[in-house]
Amino acid sequence: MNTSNSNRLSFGHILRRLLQFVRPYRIGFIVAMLLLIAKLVMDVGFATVQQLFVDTITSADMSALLRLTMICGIACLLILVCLMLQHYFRFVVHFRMIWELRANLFDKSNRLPFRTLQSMHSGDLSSRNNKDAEKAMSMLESVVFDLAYNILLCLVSFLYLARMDVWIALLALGSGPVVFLSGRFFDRRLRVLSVDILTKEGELRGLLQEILQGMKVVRAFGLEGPLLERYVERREQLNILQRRRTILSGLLWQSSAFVNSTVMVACAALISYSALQGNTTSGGVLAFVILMGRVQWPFVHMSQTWGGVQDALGAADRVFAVLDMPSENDARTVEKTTPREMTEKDHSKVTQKCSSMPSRDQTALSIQNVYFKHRSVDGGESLLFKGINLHIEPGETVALVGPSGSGKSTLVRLCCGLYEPDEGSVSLFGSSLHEQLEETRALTTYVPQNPYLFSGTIRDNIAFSSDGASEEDIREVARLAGAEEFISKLPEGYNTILGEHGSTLSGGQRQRLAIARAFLRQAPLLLLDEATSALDNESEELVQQSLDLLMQGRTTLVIAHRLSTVRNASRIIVLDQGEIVEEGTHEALMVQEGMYAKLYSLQFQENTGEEEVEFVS
Amino acid sequence: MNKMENHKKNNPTASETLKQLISLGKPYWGRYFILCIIVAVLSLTSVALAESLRRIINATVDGNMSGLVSGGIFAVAVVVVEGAGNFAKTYLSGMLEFKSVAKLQASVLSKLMKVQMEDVEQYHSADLISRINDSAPAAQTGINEKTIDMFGNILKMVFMLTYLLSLQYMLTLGTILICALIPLIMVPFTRKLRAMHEARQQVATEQQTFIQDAIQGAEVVRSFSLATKLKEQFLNRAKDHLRIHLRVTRLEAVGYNLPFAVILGGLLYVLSFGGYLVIKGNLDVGAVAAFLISFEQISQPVARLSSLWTELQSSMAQSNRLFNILDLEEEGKGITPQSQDYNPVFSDGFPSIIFEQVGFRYGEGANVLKGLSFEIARGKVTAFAGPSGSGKSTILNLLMSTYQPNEGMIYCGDTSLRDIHPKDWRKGIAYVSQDPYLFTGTLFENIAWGRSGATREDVMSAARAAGIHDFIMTTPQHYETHIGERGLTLSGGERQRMSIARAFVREPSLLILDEPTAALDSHNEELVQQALKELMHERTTVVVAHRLSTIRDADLIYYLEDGAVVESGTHNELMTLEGKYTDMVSKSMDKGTLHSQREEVGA
Repeated sequence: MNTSNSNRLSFGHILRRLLQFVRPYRIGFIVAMLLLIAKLVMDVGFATVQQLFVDTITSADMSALLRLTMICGIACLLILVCLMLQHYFRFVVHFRMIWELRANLFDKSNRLPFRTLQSMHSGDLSSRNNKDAEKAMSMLESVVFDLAYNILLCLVSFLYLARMDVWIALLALGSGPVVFLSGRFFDRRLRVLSVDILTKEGELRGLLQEILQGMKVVRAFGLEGPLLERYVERREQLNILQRRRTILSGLLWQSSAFVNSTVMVACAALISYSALQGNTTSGGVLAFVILMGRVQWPFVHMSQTWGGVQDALGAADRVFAVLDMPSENDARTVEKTTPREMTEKDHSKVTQKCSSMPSRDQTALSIQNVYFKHRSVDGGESLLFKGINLHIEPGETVALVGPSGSGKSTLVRLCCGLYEPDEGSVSLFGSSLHEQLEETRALTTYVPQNPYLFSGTIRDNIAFSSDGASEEDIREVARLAGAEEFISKLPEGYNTILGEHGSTLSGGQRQRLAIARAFLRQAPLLLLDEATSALDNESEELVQQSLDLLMQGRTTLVIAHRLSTVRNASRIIVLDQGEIVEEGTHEALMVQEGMYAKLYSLQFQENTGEEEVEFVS
Repeated sequence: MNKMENHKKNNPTASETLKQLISLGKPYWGRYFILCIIVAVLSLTSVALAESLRRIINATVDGNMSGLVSGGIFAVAVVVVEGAGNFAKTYLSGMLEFKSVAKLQASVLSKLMKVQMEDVEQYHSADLISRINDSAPAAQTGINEKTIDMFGNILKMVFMLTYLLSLQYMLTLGTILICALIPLIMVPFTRKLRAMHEARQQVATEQQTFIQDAIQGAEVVRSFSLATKLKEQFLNRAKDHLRIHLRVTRLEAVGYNLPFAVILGGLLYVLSFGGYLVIKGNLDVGAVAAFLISFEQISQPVARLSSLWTELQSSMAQSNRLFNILDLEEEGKGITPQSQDYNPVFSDGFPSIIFEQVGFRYGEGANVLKGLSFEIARGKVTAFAGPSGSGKSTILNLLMSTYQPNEGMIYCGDTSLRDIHPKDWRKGIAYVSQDPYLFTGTLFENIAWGRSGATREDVMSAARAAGIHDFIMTTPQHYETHIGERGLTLSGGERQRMSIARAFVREPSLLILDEPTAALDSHNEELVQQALKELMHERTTVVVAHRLSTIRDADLIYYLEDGAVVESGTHNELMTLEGKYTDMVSKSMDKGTLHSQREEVGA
């Protein structure tokens, strides 16, 4: 989670990586940089122009004054246009780069191993994508535009100044680095503080998210008071951090401004003194004073900007910490074509090919000697699977039974690559999930217990995983999943926009949408966390029929809740504490009188004979 | 969605927004005053600095050594005062900002916890978060920083101009005229800019919504290999965002650079017109030079002023989004909630609840409940059954007072539910839902949320009663074990038992169960069912379920269809009726759910 401290990247490294985001927009970027010259002209040129004016005035040349005014007026207009263009290009490029960074971060967060994601709070991750990405990118802005410009300004002014009096110019220039370096005292603290503040902000976002998403529980249990208190308390912690930052950066700013002003006054006094000695004219003194500010100011500004850069570095630490995490398929030996260039079309091609291929000769699912540890949020570990083996032949329907915590859901998640085994391997239809994650995963359809719906239309929620799905396809699968009826009752039908996580639908309706999704996917291996539990009786019946249809011709691994599933399964696997304790058909297992029989009788204690009757009727 | 309509409805004028914005600053007038004084002093120091430079230059021109020294000392003093003043200002305004923003954010959050559920559900949580995290600070700094800054810069300008007037009125008058051009050019932009800022924020929020959804849907995203497609969608959305951003930036490019026009124009004016006057013999060169230096000083406040104006527009756009929330109506309007521990309804036993001709619809939709009348008897278990969409969950919403009926009345004893503040009402309620909602934190905390002041013993005995204690003891840190976001690292059954323990700790008078076992497998259901039985013992309980095992033992079952009670009675009565309920039961038999089997035997 908080990898920030162990993961402090060097300034150069971060700058290089951020600069990569410039590449697509380099033209705009370069234009913006070039246009900065207009600003340079304005800042430096003015001293010259002033001197020109003063000299013209002194020589009392009215027509020359008029000419000069005209030229300068036109120059001013040009500069102004350049400044506007510069602003435009600069912020457009900046904006694009932020979004590019965000897109990368977003993509990364979608490719992180599920387990990594479970150990982070989604609020923190969202916060990184929002605030941190923007702040990190601001570094490029500060460094390239502000720092580079100020160094340039500083140099030009120095050259100009040196023409008048080398020693004083050197004094002004020499004191600059003092200003700058004295500010570096704050760097490390500012950067650490920045990470702390952003982490806190992420944490706060997580808290807010939980309060808002759990509003019903908050209200029902009257948690408004305590939760608000908790928020205020955490917010206060953030305030303390922010106060520290204000003091630090306030000291940084004011100390450098103060040193600057002192040096400036001292230099003014010196040049005046030299004027008193008759070495300089009064016009010269004027120009010098103005210019000296220009030599000095950049240093002050740089020093302050550098403080801001520390802030950005802190944000970059947090952003790159995520970007540098291994992706799901990083550990795997994947050819370069995946996953970026592999489009959804390819996926469906793979799917098509696989569902039609005569896979009789290959084992549909093979789990070989898999070890798996659960890691808790606190960092504790508990070994769940200790060398588990499971092979499912094509066309089989295997039911998974076992007490709570025996690892049923984990096993199913291992099968679609949500979890990666610590040891051993999982392969589907002969291809290893470990080596070709995306392609192999395309062979599976996983229907989890709590179906997740996105905000968006019902149509999108059904069709999101299949690009080429036609309107008919969507209606067909909705019908198969028993969702057609309630969808047609909605005012906007398939275009109805669902609330957050599908909150506007009932649990049963959500599940039916999830099943419709599964129908559309047409993958040969079905992984089912028996998903009809939240359905009412009528729709359950409907869905059950469609699930049977869905299982037809497919290989199915199902966490069974229902007797009919157990009985119709070609094989039952009984899991206990991560181990397969029994295996076989319902009848065979009943004869064994082991765990299955116990589980079974526990649930049918009063009824051993009557169940037969039920099935007949 | 509805929020878009809200948007259009709620488009207050600039002055209204500004007024509301200023009202945010009310508690801080004292600090503002101090800050204003500091700012005023600081604006004086810039004049003083100009004056000291003038003295130094004059001393140089006159060849006056002592003048030079005194000028130098004066300048250093000014610089010290300025530095100290600036630090004080930064610190004070920083403190003020953090404090006031935190307070505003807390008040928005507290408001959100008070407004009608109906209104909250209109917004995506990411949208609300963005309003708290982005809009609130923008609005508050708009009033704190931006207005004070504006005041300071106007003051600076006035001081500078007065000073310049004293130097040379002809040159100054022209300068003032040029400065006056800024608002003339800026104001027409303003309206457009603000609307665009608001649109941009809206798009940005939608993007955050998208991101949050994708991250929380990680399981689906991975198992359906959606990453590539999501990135594509993300970039498409970013394009929309970019379009608005381009328009804003175009305006801002002009807005931010206008002051340079003024500064350049002003300098040009001073140089050329001043030069003209000098050549005419009305002015000496030294005066022009001094004027120029002072003019440099004026350029800074001028530049700052107009960029502040642009920033203020953004703040106002953001505060609009904030006030949309702050203006929402609160629950239990007109009823004052009682003090923390006051519990009027439940003090002498919990009375029966009576629904009288209750009608309800969501928003403008069709009627969900149609003149519903029934009684929930004290100390008994009342169950609701029926097909999905029959209004079962709506009844629970009404019972929890998260929604109010459109027609009819709900009585608790003799008191109408309308006359009890929802907060007071809910003090006696515990709610267990199908998908239990846990918070990040320790296991202990999550149970203790049930009742404020719950002791360790309370929590532990609740955990035991809910059958989760043994599980908790197998975790590495027992009750202090941290669970991740929403407790998703626990299994469904463990989560549900946690939420039942939370209900136990609450010691509710009214227990509301919304399909508590629907998402569980049979083994877990067994465990949960036992825990629930314990919890329901001698408590007024309302349960919605379609699992026979959950409702079979109820004292009274209402079978609902289309928002009306079709049948009612005990399980056995209803079964002998051979009506819809019997149909439902026999259908669930056919499916052969492990449980219905067992239940059937008892019947």
